[in-house]
Amino acid sequence: MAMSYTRAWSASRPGCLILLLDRSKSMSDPFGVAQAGAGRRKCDMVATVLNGFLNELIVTNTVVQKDGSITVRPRADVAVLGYEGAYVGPILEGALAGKTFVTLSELQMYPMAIEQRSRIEIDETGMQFEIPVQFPVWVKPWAEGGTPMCDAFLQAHELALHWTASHPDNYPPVIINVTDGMANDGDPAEVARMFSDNSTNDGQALSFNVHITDINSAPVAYPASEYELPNDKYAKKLFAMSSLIPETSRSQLQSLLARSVLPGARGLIFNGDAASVRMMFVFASVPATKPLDMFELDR
Amino acid sequence: MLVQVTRLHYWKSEHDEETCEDAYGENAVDGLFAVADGAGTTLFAQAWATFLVKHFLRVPLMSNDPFEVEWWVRLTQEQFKHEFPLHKDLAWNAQQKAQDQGSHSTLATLLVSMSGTTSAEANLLAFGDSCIIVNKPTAERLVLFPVQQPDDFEQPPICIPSKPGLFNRYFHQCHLLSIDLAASDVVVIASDAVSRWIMSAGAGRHNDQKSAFQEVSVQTAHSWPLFIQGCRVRKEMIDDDSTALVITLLSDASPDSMPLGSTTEHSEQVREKRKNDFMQALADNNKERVAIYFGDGRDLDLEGIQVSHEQIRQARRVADAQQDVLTVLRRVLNSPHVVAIMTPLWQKYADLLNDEFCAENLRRTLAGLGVPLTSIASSLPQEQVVDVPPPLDTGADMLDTRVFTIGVEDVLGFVHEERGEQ
Repeated sequence: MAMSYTRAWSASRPGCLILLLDRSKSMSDPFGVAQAGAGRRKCDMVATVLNGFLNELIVTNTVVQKDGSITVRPRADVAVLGYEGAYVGPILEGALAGKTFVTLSELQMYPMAIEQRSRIEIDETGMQFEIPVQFPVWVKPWAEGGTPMCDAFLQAHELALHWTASHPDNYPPVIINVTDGMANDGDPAEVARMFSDNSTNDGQALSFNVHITDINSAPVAYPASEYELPNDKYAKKLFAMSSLIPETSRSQLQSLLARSVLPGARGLIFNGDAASVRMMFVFASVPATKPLDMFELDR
Repeated sequence: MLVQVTRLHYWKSEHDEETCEDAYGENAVDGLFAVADGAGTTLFAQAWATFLVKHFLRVPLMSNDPFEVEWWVRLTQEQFKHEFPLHKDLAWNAQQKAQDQGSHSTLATLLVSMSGTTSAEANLLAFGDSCIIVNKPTAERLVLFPVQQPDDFEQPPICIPSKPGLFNRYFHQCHLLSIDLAASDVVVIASDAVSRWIMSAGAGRHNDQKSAFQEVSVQTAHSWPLFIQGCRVRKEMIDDDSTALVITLLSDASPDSMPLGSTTEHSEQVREKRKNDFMQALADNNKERVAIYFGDGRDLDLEGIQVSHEQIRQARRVADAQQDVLTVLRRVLNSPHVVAIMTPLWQKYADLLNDEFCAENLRRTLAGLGVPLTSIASSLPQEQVVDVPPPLDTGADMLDTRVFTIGVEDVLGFVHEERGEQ
């Protein structure tokens, strides 16, 4: 089968984004002082980054309809699963609680809460001023118990299996697993491979991993070889679990990183911080943030 | 000289007349014509495109001097904000999108600066890929402006943003072409779909561009929808809003013709207001505003204001320095590396901006962020002076209106906000 990865996420052929969040006890530890998110609990930061990312995905896909109404293009089916000692499954809150796949429109309509926040902007004279912004929240931070990552990948695999069956011509599913530790329910490489064996006519499912840490060390992002990683069994495991960056996405990634990315690079950030999580979210969703008018030919 | 104007307007299949994002307008008596194409990826693009055209007809942009353009764009933005305030009852996502990005639009204009019996002089001014195409019967080729080739339409166009902080006088370049016109010349001002169709010789259906141009120029408001639909069916034209103003110059009267006038200066009212703003900026010793209100200097010259070249050069230097610092600051404001990034950049301009009144707020903001403001350049050996880092990227977030990249630099925006909450 040709692995083209050329289908854009569009209203008639949405993408599939599965976000896996490690919610084990260690996620309550703070990030290191030299890291993005310094001093904040990892689970707080991941929840914040995730809520902010979903927010931007919705805003980017907000368009004016023919009748002048404003709507959200349903260009992605999104599932957010969490895993911790006592629970593996969907973690969206509020009206979407218990749901696996939701559309961007559903996310737009049913956030758990919309918090009033302020954002600082700079006017033409350089003066800072605050503008009120509405910040929707879908996921709350949580940190408890162990790290049943295998079970989480298994659930993701089942979701992807069903999704690919009903969307055979779409861009294949993408999973982003955010974790700070080792699985304690087996070897996740095997289930990750099962997940990646799911495919559509456009390619095999993509498994991307972000390992976050409280160590004040520079993240290793998108390595093309194991040797770029610390000499660590766990790092190698995650490397093996991470898909190759499709050639069609490599230039986008290079633009995001403002540096070259080698052919053969993997969708892995090791020893990452809050910024790494966001970086991966942004990169993985590029097909949903591409110019609307170029890719909405199916409208 | 007389002129005959045909207004051709049709919309993409998902639009109707109400939601079409192209706008057009003319005032033949003053020799002003404009077409704008709102960027559909932004909200309220139609309102912004329409406003740009109307504003041009009221207060024409007369040159492409970057500071003159900035004066004009700021004026347009202010009035747009006043006339189209953001509705508070919008859904959160729409409100956020409008707040973050504003609306964007291209603009192509023709300003006749002299209209004689059989000839005229005009300035063509354009932002983005709305085009002005001139057919001179005696010339072998069309005059194409500003886009020259069909492939160039693949690039995202530079659009004028409605949000003040997003305009950059050097990126949002306004192109200018001065041209002599004669009776029998035909000018088409068109949005990108039509312009591209002409430049591609009707996607190859015609032998040359001139022939395609002629097919457009003979259309009527009545025939235009069918013509566009036919082009789309034959895959010659993309499904997009399709607008063209066809301006035929005549020496003799015809049934629909009207006199073609000209505009050589802004109205007295506009000049008076500008003079007052300029004098206030001078009194405040605000060089950035001095540079912008001065613009290309023509309005103030007409008002009898004399300013030395050196004074304006210095004002522009300060304004440019301030813009450079502000552009980067806006991008990295919420980054943990803000001090590391802003310090060398400030040092590059410290000598210029340290004592400037216009940079007072900027200095306060930088100091508040922890950026040292004292110039260190003079106290360091030359080789130790830190270089300003290269631009963070091409500035696509601010300037490229079709791609709304979620910048890596904004990554901590939310962190910042949450900290503020605690």
